[in-house]
Amino acid sequence: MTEFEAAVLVAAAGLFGALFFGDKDQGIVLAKDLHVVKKPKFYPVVDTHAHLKAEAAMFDLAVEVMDAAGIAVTMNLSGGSGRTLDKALALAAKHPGRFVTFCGGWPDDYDWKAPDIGKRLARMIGESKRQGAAGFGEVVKWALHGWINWDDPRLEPMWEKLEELQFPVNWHVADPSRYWMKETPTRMLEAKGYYKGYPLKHALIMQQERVLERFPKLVVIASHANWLNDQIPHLIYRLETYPNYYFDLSAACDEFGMDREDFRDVCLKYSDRIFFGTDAGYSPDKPKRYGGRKHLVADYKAFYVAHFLFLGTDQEKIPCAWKGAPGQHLVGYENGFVRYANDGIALPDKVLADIYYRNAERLFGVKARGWRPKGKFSYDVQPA
Amino acid sequence: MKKVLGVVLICATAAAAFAFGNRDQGMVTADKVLVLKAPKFYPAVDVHTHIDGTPEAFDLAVKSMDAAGVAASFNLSGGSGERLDKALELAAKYPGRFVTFCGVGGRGDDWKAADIGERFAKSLEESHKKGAAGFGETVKWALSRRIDWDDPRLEPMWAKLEELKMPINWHVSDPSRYWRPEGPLNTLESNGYGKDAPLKQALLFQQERVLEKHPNLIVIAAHANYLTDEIPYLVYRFEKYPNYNIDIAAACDEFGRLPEEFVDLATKYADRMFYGTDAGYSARKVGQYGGLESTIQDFKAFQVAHFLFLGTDQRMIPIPFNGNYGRHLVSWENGFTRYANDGVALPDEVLKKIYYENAERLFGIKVRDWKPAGEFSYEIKPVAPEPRPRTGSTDSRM
Repeated sequence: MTEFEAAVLVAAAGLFGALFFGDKDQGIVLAKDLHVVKKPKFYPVVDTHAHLKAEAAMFDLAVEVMDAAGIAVTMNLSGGSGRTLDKALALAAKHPGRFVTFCGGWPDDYDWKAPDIGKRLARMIGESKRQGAAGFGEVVKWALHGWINWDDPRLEPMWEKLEELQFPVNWHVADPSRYWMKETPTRMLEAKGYYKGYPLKHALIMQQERVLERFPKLVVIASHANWLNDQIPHLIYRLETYPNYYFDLSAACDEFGMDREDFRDVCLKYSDRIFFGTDAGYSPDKPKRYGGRKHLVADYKAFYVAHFLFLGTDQEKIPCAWKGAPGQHLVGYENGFVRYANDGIALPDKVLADIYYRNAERLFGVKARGWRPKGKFSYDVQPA
Repeated sequence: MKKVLGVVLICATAAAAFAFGNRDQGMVTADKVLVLKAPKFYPAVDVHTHIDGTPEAFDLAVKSMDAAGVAASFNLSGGSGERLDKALELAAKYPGRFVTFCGVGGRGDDWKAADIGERFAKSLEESHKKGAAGFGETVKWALSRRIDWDDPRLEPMWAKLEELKMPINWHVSDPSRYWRPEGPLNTLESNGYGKDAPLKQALLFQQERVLEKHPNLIVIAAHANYLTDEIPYLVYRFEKYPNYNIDIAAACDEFGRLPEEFVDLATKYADRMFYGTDAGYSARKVGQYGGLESTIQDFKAFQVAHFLFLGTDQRMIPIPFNGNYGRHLVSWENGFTRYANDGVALPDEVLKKIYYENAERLFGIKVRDWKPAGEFSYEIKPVAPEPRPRTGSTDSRM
């Protein structure tokens, strides 16, 4: 097949898809689709998993959303390194107490074949810490993409450095299991087709296991609960075996909601190891996609409140809070099917306080308690 | 106040006894399995059963197998020495119907002995000569704190199994819910593996180290290793260890919670999956289940519930699970019902492999032309249990 033929094929498929499935924006379910039936209790929440582009407008936008949704502090996992990091730190400093900045795990600058890659990364981490970064990450899927295996000996200097500095790493290793499965009429969720030519999910997890065994003091925040949500016995094993192993809940509540009893038990027992997070993204293209800034703020607020309803109330059929490919979804329609909705698990007060802010205060020295949004505040969601 | 409390307590106990009554309601019998969609016939091989070393138990087994269309059963309670001789002798009376596994160790064994692995290896060699086709069911040695699976003292045993190419039916852990407290949301049986028990994943990692060290070991993971809630891990093992197989005994209820994943798994790894039920045949059962005819029908219903789950799309099929109180179809624990499954209707070529082709290949048996004598159908005809003499206890199964 020539390139031209391929292009025609792709275009035809795209046209067919557009005609058949209609506007992709139906995938973004908006504030109007969330009904707040049971009121969550207020907590000064720390979102440990967000991505902000280093532009003043994006930080302003984030603050507006945070104020609307009752988010005290957001951790920016897109800090980058060098001058980008300086810029991200300077922008964060304009909003004292509202942002924590991680340094960059983004791959563009790296020569993955370099024999000294681990040393270079270790140096970068040392420098970033001096600049003011609070952690390293989000470090995303290096092994899944075939860049470098997590247990490659060349990375040892990096793990050593992280362990030595007790510098937390937000570490994204796998993806939901369904990404490795085939799409079928009954499996209506997004699948990525990892079943061919990609490493197995558990092979990635075992690479990580070997790093954890070798560096047991490493401070890890496993992004998205390592997507061990369907391997809860393994998750428990890690929490018991590695004292500095934590996880964030971002983009994983939909999965955990499928096994809510087990998830609730894990939350009760290990509340001091779990961080609230959402994977919220702030980039210049977003306001347009949501039909303007006002809509975006209302929709992002709904996105947050969907999490709070799931964790803190027993409301039933809450649209799933999940940040999918086309934006952040509450409920996404993939191929015309609706994603499942969750019933809330109504965690007790102490557990919620741990997850929402106490753990972040302890590990990152931020202060969220006492913070309140200015003016009158409620979790009511008003479509713009 | 104390008096009032006492009265309340007595009343509550009486009410509970009245409401839940005889524990026998926990045992769902032939009359509870409705065959709405008739499964296609296959000469099934049940690779996971336990048969007492008595003529009565073998008689019950064969009659139940004939009624349910089960061509052959693997007896995973063969033991060693004289007990094994007896099991082999009884099996030989029914040519082609039984395959006998051997066992080692026991409660009386000295698990601390330095030469335990060598002794086990020697026992395996003897049992192999006598005609044992495999080793097992090897049950929860590490969970019961007898010896860790990756204890170096067991090395001679693993090496001997590799050398003899002798399959091991290997039971390592239990369903995850056994590690969780019973609660309003955990309504299923829980064994309360608490603070002192090793973690489930720790046991699995012990096994992992043995698998890594002995890649030629032929493993049939009993109950799918209860990796039913860790399917990505199960897939990893299938890909990494070409001699790693599973049986689905007492695991269909768990798999039924993730039907789509199970279908994917069964379709892709059909040649690594064995049909099994954990059925337990003993003379004692006949008394418990109200006579021979009634017991045979109950065992048939137990097998047919599996066939309905695997081979049809009938919905709300009572769950076949061999629980602590005997073989249950659906059991009520503390007044709650266990969940029921919808059938996953696996395709014909997958069912063939799971039911008999894999067993034929790995164990050199031949069942493909076997048919039950006379007229046969999967229909279940409940037989009213014979009244049994009342003893002091209302629950003879305790």
